[in-house]
Amino acid sequence: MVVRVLNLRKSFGKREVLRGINLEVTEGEVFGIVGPNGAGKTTLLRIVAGLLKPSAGEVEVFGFRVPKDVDKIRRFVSYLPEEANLYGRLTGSENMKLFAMTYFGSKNIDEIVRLGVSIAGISEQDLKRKAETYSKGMSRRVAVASTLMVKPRLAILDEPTVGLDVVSARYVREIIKQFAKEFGTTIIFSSHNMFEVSKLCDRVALIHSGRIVAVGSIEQILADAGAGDLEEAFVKLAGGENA
Amino acid sequence: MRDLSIVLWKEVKEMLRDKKTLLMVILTPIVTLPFMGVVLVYLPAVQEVVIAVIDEDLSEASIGNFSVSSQSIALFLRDYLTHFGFLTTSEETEVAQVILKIPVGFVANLTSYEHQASVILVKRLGSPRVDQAVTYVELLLNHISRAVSEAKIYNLGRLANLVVKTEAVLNPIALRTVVLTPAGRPAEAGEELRLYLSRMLAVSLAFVTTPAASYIADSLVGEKERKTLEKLLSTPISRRSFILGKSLAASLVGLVGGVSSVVGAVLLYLAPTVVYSTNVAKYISPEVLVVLFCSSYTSILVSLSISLPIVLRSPSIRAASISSASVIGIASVTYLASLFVNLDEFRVPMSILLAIPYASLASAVIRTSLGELLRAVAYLTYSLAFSIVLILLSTKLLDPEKMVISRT
Repeated sequence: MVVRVLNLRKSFGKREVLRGINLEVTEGEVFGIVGPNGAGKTTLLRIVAGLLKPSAGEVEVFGFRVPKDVDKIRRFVSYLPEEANLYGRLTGSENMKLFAMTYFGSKNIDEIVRLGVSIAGISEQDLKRKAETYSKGMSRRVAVASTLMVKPRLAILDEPTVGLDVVSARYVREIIKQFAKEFGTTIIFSSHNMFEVSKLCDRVALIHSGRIVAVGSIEQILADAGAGDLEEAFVKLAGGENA
Repeated sequence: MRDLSIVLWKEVKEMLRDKKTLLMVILTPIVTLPFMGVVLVYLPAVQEVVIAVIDEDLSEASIGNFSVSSQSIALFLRDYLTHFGFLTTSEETEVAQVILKIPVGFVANLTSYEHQASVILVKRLGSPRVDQAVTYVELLLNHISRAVSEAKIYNLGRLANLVVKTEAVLNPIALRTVVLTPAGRPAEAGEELRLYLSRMLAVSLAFVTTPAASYIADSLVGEKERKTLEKLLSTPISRRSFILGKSLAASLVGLVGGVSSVVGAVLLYLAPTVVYSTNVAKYISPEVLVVLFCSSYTSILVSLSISLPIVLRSPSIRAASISSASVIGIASVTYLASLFVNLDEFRVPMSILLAIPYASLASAVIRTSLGELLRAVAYLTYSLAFSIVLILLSTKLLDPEKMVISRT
């Protein structure tokens, strides 16, 4: 088991964001967390990545407990936050080198960065430019590549395509799909784009107002909800058009 | 150690490419210090003040062989005041900030043995230079008073057929002032000027600290604002390396700031030397420059160490920025205070002031100038230890949750 979440609750002051989440993610799968803005997707991923502490419940990653074993968990997990930017004064290549070094020190850095470059699919010339000169699409490609190139046992990608144009979003989806297939990495992927999730994920959890309303393969969720697509299933399961 | 070098590598790369901030750290002391020297020493001397010396008496008289005229007194005053850089006139004018009137009957009273002569001095409130003008007028009038007193004493002695020494009548008590340094050795000529200049150097620490403290705050708060923090905190980099790497990078800024402040200090001494053609540069010593460098470096570390826990525990980025600005404010006020007082010479409970590391650093510079190098080293050591302990404590305070969810 890669991730096991049991009755997880998280509050910020009096505001309860997660209200008893239960889910399991198995080795090698691409697991999607789908829900509208404010549903609690980012909070859930931040807890799994060891950045936030649970208010109640249990979270285990590769058998290690959050937050107790967070230093061990970070060695196996690579996380891409929703609004992650590159270091603007560093070049694309230096940004990759930095994240490679955080996992491997100076060992095999060139090889890891080469993998990053091939994932990002940007030219040598662009890699030598400062990241502050990149377009949003190019920045995101480098950020996704930096997250995956270290070949983590678990990659957590929070809305990796949000705000990107159609072409860039498609490219990022292709990167993730190809990487998961090639290296067998477990990927947890969040999105509010149902189409995207149905294209990428082996299994999906639908999250609404801090609760998981359905979890399983897309076919299974559609069958259980009696819906034609994931969007319809979500509306039905979350309790109406206002969900 | 490996993590630390990674954070340091990133910070140094970013720092070297942030040329504007780096330039500010380098240029602020180099530009501000000589400017301060010119402003504090030169500008007051060249500010225009018009002094009107009006002779309404237009008379003369004598004391024995010593003749006195109101015209010669007015002329003497105007000549010397012009020599001291003031503009003088003999007529009452609206532009005059200081008016000295020699009234009718002045010379008669001045030469009499029964009456006291008086003059009327009018000053318009406005600038410190006007106060300086009044001080000069008073000095010159004292000089005239003394000359007249000497003539009167001499004449009275002659009439009484007595041998009279004027000093014995005018100043029966002679005051001899011996100036010593705190170490007890007789002060050399110019020692007070040396001390004044070292006070300016203590104030100058504020100019090093301000841009560097902003850099430090930005280094932490900026990670959040530029949305790079969350990803870095999720990597295997340890909290300790994250904080220490940033602290080490900031201390490199401190080294740059320290060198700049030494260059600025040399220029501060050279400015009056060039402007006044007097050799003020002779008062600069290698010990003062070394201690100034160490104090500048430590001042930046102190700012870092005070800012760190505040920034790390602030609920929002704005709160963190305001808190770091307050640290800069405290540093500036403490350094400014050292221009007027010796911060290390108060009794309990005011002696607690010295616990503020900025007060210790300012005192270190001043004590070095007074030849008390050991005391200076003690103050430097205290401030350095203060910052190291606080930085190490801060590594325990880093809470990724607080940093990640803090509001922008």
